[in-house]
Amino acid sequence: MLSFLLRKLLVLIPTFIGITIAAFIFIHIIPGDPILIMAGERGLPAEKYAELMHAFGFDQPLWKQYLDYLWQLLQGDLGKSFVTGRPVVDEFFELFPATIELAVCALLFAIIIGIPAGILAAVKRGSVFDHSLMTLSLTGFSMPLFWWALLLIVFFSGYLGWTPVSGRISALYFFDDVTGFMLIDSWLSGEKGAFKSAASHLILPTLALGTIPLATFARQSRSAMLETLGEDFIKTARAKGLSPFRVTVVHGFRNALIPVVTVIGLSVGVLLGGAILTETIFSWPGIGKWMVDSIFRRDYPVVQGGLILIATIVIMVNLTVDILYGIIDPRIRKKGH
Amino acid sequence: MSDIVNEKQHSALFDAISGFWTEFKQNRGALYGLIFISILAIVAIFAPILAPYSPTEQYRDFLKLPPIWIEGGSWDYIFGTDALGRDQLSRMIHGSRYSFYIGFIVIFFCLTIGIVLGLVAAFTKGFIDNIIMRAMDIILAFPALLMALALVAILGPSLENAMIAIAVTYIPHFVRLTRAQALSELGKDYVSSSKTMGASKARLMFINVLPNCMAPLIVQATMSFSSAILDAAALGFLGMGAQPPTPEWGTMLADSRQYILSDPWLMTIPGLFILLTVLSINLIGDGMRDGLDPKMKSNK
Amino acid sequence: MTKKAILTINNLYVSLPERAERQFAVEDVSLELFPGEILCIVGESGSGKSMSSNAVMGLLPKPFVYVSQGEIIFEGQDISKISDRDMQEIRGSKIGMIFQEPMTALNPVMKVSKQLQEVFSSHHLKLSKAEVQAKIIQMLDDVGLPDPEIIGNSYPFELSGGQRQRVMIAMALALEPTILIADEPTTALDVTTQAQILKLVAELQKKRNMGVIFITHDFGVVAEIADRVIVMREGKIVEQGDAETILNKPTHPYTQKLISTVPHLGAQRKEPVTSDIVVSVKGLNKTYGTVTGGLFGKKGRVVHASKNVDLQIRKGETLGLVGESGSGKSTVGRCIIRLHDSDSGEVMFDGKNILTLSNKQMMPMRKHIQMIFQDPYASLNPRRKIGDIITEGPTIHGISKAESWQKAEELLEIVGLSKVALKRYPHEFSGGQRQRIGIARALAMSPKLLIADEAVSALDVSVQAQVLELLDEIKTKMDLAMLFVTHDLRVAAQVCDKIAVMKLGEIVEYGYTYDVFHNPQHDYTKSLLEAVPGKEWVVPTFETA
Repeated sequence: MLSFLLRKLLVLIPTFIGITIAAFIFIHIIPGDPILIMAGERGLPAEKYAELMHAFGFDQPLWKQYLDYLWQLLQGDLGKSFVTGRPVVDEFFELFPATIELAVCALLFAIIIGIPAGILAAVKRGSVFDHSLMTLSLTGFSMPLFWWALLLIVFFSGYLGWTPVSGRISALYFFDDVTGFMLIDSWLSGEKGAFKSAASHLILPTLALGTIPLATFARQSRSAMLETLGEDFIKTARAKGLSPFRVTVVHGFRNALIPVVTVIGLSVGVLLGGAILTETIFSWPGIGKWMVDSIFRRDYPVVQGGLILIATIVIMVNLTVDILYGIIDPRIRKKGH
Repeated sequence: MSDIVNEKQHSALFDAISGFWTEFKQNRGALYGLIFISILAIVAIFAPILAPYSPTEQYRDFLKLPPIWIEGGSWDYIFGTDALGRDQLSRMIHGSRYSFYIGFIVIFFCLTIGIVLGLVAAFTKGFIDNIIMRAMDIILAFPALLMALALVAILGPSLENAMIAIAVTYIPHFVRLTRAQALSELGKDYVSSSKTMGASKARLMFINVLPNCMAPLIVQATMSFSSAILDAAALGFLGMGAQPPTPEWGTMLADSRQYILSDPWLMTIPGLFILLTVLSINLIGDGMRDGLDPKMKSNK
Repeated sequence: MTKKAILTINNLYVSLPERAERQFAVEDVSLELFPGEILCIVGESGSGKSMSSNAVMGLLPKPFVYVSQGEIIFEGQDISKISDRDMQEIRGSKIGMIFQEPMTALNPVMKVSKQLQEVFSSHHLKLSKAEVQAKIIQMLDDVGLPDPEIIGNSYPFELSGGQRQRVMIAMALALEPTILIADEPTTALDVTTQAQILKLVAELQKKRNMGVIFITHDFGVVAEIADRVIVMREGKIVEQGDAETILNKPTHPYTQKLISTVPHLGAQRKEPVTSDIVVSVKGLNKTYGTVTGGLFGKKGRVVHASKNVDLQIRKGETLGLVGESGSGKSTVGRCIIRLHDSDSGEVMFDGKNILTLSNKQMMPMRKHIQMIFQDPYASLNPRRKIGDIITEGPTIHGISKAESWQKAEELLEIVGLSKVALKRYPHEFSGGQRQRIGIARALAMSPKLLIADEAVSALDVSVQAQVLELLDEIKTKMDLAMLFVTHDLRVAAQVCDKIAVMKLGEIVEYGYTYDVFHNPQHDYTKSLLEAVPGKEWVVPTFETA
């Protein structure tokens, strides 16, 4: 198991270097001079321009710039934002909890509803429930996320007036960040109504972001279950006289887990992508909105650093999924391929 | 010897197609999807004839006119008009063209590049295979929409650049699928048999292996067709796709965003049509999966 | 002496879904099972033999396939009509069942002991944990598994096929059922393992006085263990009676036909072939390494698939390469035709060592060495027409389309198919027909050496007999040298002039078929022959068949 883990980690190194190269090249093929763009309409005096070029290392050959960047990156330095002048890493970790909070809530929402629904549909294959769930999930899967988010706003905020439209918490409340997670912080603050406010701000973004993964999980767990339920060992389990529940859950679901875990792992990338839209629409101060804003402002150090950090999170999630495979399936663990 | 094949009237290809159609028909949803898409395709082809007005002409006397089913609507503008007084129906009709345009261009790039890279990876194994697959891993490490957004920002916001960016983020899936499929086919004995005849690599790749990889690739392409429409709309929504006044549905949605609480129907119509189009294509994709691969039928 | 039947089936019908090929999987089947007997149900694929047993177990894939008429009487009640919950109580406790594929019939992610323990826990027995544990160990011991503790603590993938099947048997018999249903339990096993499992089933059956329904397609197995036999065809019973009668004096023509196709084990003495040597293999070596070296120095096992293999085949001669799975017999065939690269050794063909030829130099040789594959479904490209498949080889070698097409027509005639087949796709043909197409494809190259890699293993016996006949006919007519790779000693005895017995990559015995079968020298050959099911049964011949 340990060597299995180590091997997986080693494979990540070239992928990680590849990610840094990709992000670096991305930014450096941009047409136009970043310094001039930064300076904006007014332009810059020549000596100031040369100074900035030097300060950012743009006068160096590209490979040297990359190696410098990589060297600093390994020390935890991803450069400073053109706009705010603050280190990219600091900004990232300041906003990251907001995105995590949203993504985790959306993921839980999708898992808790999607997987049991999918299993039930597989067991009751061909029933009205199965057909309705499959139709609904295909609709959810086809939903334009931004439109869905707007519809939710129109209905819950506009028509019913139940939920706020944007932000993480009402401006009435002030308390210190402890964890960065608004739900926990508002709870800890003890202020009356703060938690409720935080929760009500979270509901719509969670629904918006969680719907597509929910549909995917329901479909995937259904088809994985159907596949497993057709296997020989299910017949063996029935021939042993086990109860239908035991056959389905202990023998069926455990074996269907691998494709389900795979799709949960993949959905993290989808969630981070979806966070861009969700956070923009709900003015949620997380890294999705931060990336979009930076892309629009052409704040290249932020875009470059953000891409690397987000991609790193994705490959770490993939690693976790690989480890989970090993835990779920003894064949993978013991043979270690 | 009694093992003589019965004489049949029609050709084998006809059999294959009619077999596919029988399976496909079984799936009611797929049939509805096909009907919707066919109608939309006709609308797209004859857009200039069918649209009552120009999609960009502004009728300043009729700003934000509601659609016919809401009080205050007029038969002159069945879907109403937008904030600049342009006819929504005409814009929707012309917009349907962009959906097909986006879908076809994206899957064209994905299929050609994906198949070539996937087959090369499967046939070379070793070093080149490794390089290709690692490169795909790297692309997949970036969330698709984020990467597309960054790419378009670099290339400059336009519908064409958005399509390229979207294709780049989809290609890895096609490469992986082609490679996996080709590897599984390569292990089969009909390939061994061709090898014992002395068939060249190209022959093995394109004549023997590729046609047997196509079924899942076609399903994947169908699903990508619909995702491409969604992603292009999302980019349009963020201002990084088609630029105004192009009547692309996502861009139209973005334009109407500020009126979501005052005039919600402005964003309802384009959104609904994006949903219906994408849903129909996904339904067709499901039906094709059943028809092309009876083994995957358990999904039905 | 009249015994009371423990299971009675009366006029059973099992309905198939509307779109199926026929209306009933099982049609008007009536049978009785008595305690202490082994009842064999034999039939070819699609005969409904498995469906009948699944109906007894209540394991039909409802709602698509179901018992539509008739009754299954067990312990005084019709179990085809009782509730699922009541049936659940009977399954595993009063009727046990084992399946064909020991690889897939056990849950891959659950330890063996846990899977056994479930049998107890699900039948509401008042047993303590320690008692159950003791029973599990006892059961594993009963089915002849060494170190029951270690086995119990393993996952199924860590066990061999035979061990898994023993675990299955332990599981099915844990609660001492009165009936055991065995659905082709030895088909996926090697011949020596098969012999052990058959012996085990017979032993346990005697010890516990169980009634066993044993489903098989193999008359050898029937001869080995059956007390009574039922022959099924297309869902109906065609003949039943005691084993002695059915095996030696069957009355129904279908039974006679089936039995007459069983190859004789007693090889006949054949004239030694003394013509020119076509291929001569010397010191052929091939190893498969699993992960050698690597960053963490993980040492893989090296498997010798071929170790210093020497053999020769003459014109018009058939050499049988026999052995169990993993013996390397297929690898040797594939190394000779250069589908696999060999590590060392030489293969002399037409005066050249073809192992050292470049791909380009190999091209003209390819024409003369051809192969017929095992799986008639995977060995034909499903997307190409038969005509394209057969003419592919000649086309590659520069023969004109018209000429090769002409030849393909002739070849189809030779293998017993009509020329309209050329315009059809593989899925339109049955397994036996596909194998004929595979033969035509190989012949299209006008080979001098034909390698048949388990070419008849995937076929039903009657089809198998026809294909073997065809191969023999062609070999004689075209004066081919043939390497016949097989695991089936009966088949080898029938078709081969010479036999090479392989074990773990080595040829342990090599000689004329008659000598090898009647006077085996090596212990391994002896044990293989000993293990052939129904070896004492002399297959009768019939006038009508």
